[in-house]
Amino acid sequence: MTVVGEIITEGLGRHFRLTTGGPRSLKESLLRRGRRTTRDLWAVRGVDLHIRPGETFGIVGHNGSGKSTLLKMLAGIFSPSEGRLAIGGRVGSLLEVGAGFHIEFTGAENVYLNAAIYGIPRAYVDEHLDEIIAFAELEEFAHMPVKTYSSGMYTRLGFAVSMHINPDVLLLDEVLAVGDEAFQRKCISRIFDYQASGGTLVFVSHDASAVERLCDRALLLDRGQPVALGATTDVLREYHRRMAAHGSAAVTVADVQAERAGPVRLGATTTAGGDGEVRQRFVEGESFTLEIEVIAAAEVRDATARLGLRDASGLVLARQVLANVDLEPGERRQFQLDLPMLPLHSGDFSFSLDVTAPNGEPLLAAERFAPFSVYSLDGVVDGVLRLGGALQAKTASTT
Amino acid sequence: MPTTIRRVSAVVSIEGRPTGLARVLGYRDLLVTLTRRELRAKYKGSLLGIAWSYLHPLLMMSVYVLVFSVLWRAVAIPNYPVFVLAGLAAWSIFQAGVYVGMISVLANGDLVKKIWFPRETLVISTVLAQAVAGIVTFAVVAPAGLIFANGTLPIALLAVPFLVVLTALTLGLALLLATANVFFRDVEHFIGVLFLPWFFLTPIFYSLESLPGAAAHPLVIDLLRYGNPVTPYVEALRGVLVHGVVPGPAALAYVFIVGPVLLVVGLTVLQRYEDRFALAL
Ligand SMILES: Nc1ncnc2c1ncn2[C@@H]1O[C@H](COP(=O)(O)OP(=O)(O)O)[C@@H](O)[C@H]1O
Ligand SMILES: [Mg+2]
Repeated sequence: MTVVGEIITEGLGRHFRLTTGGPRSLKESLLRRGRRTTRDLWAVRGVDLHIRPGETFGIVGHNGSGKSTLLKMLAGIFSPSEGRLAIGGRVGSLLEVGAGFHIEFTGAENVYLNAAIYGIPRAYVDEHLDEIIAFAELEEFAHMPVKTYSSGMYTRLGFAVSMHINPDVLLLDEVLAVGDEAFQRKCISRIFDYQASGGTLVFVSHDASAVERLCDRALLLDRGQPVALGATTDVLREYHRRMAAHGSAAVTVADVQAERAGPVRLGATTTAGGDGEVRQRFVEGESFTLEIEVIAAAEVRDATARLGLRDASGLVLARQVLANVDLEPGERRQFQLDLPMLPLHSGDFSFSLDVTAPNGEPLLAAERFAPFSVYSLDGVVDGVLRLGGALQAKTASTT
Repeated sequence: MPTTIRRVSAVVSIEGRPTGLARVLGYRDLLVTLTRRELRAKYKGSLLGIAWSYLHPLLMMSVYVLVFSVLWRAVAIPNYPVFVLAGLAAWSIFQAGVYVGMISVLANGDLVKKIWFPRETLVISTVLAQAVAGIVTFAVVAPAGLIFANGTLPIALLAVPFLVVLTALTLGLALLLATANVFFRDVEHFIGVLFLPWFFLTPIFYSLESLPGAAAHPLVIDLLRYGNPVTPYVEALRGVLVHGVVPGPAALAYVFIVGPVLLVVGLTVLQRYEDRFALAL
């Protein structure tokens, strides 16, 4: 048996049978039995966990590695296909976008509904309603149906409710991915309070820095298999190693913008590692090559090309300038940037390229192309630049 | 002093998740919250509000009286308006309850996918809210039976347990169909179509005895009476309210056994398959 706040799983697994073509209808299943093709998938398998009361536990892994499925089993939404699962105490969950609201209910009604689902008496909600609504910053919208809410408002309310029902075990799935930064800070500080009060937290995120900050121990899932379990730094190091190895997976720099139309266009761009392999994921300090193709619609004489390296927020970290660029009409010209040692530590990055005529006229302004990610070797994710060198303690000297 | 939260042990202990009626009773607060909200939604935003509970059956009754009694002179049932009204009120508890209950799980898919709670509470709360609306109609039918027909007071009180078991029957069927509807999305359309012939096979604007062919086909009459689970309930309610007659032992046994049994079956089936709801939605 488990004590309050404890989670034990043994060989926990969830299997899905994927069937083509959406939910069945009665008619269809009577008329064309067995015509559908099915595919079997173990979304999670063989997870043995013992999470102690008061522990903060992280689950990391690529998209589709089974993090949400595991959390849904812990939350009781999916039943396990095999294995054992026991949780002690009240379980609060906030899964991906949306907290389990009735979309026709108002925000306040949903607070009552959620509380009733968790078995919390009305009187308790009566006392804390204002506080919950204020935390979610929804004072003006409390009496509007949640279907009119933005996804940020939705998540804020869900988070506010989950944090105020004082669960013994709290399950959070990518909740910090939405909402503005100020609210995220508030959530984190509320999570710290929850940790300090002795609550058990299971935290899923693909954002390694949040996991690093919050979690004592972590589990790495890879295609449903538990591949690393232990201290957060060790697990994250393994996570980064695997991320870097997966060259072809998509990176998180969003909205790669198409360049504005002009006399010069950007063609294909590639990023490659020292081995010449084209990929978007790199390890810090690795050798790196960027290739850019530029296509000129008209003749270009004496132009200046400025290549910028940007971080995820768009801030230019470094710039390289190439003067006296000449292009013939219709010409495709390759440019190459070679870095023997990538001076980046960790994060998501992209490039920008400006080409200007001698008179200052912009010929090309391309932003956020060739996105790539860099993973640190030590699993520590603070800082985008690779400082190099080493921090050392000098021999003690008495003055 | 602030309210403290009572510890609910293992809301989601998969190993020992409670089942059956015990689980439903453990979630009374949730049921009350959902039912209240359901009732408020039903009556809010409609100009006539609760008057709808009366207007609809009264309108239907007037049509049946006009067509079958006044114009066609097909029925010679005494106190025909009250007779029709009682039948309609019983039928609408059943039919409306089954319908809203059947679609309730699908309609709350968002909730089901994101959070765990006993899924039957969705069905039960919508059916209860619908039953409350139907019972409001009986608040008119009962006095009308006493004043205009042959209803007598102690016997009319039997309508209360009859309404309880009718609600159980409705719930049982709603739970079964709600489960089926999650997996086969056309169940609700199928049942929606079925309701019309079902209504005509239920003795609402006629009685089985008053049918001209009844004497020649006793087997068909028995089939219509006991093969259609609503019929004994309609007849029992109408018997005590309109005719002032207590149903015979066979009919009594039927109404008190079939409804509760179906409720237990419905609950068991839903709880058996609820794990797959979140996936199928
Ligand atoms: N309801 C479902 N039905 C079928 N397959 C599912 C379902 N939910 C998840 N999966 C599959 O299980 C795998 C794991 O998904 P998920 O747990 O959402 O991963 P993650 O949260 O790590 O991105 C994926 O391949 C996904 O397609
Ligand atoms: Mg996920």
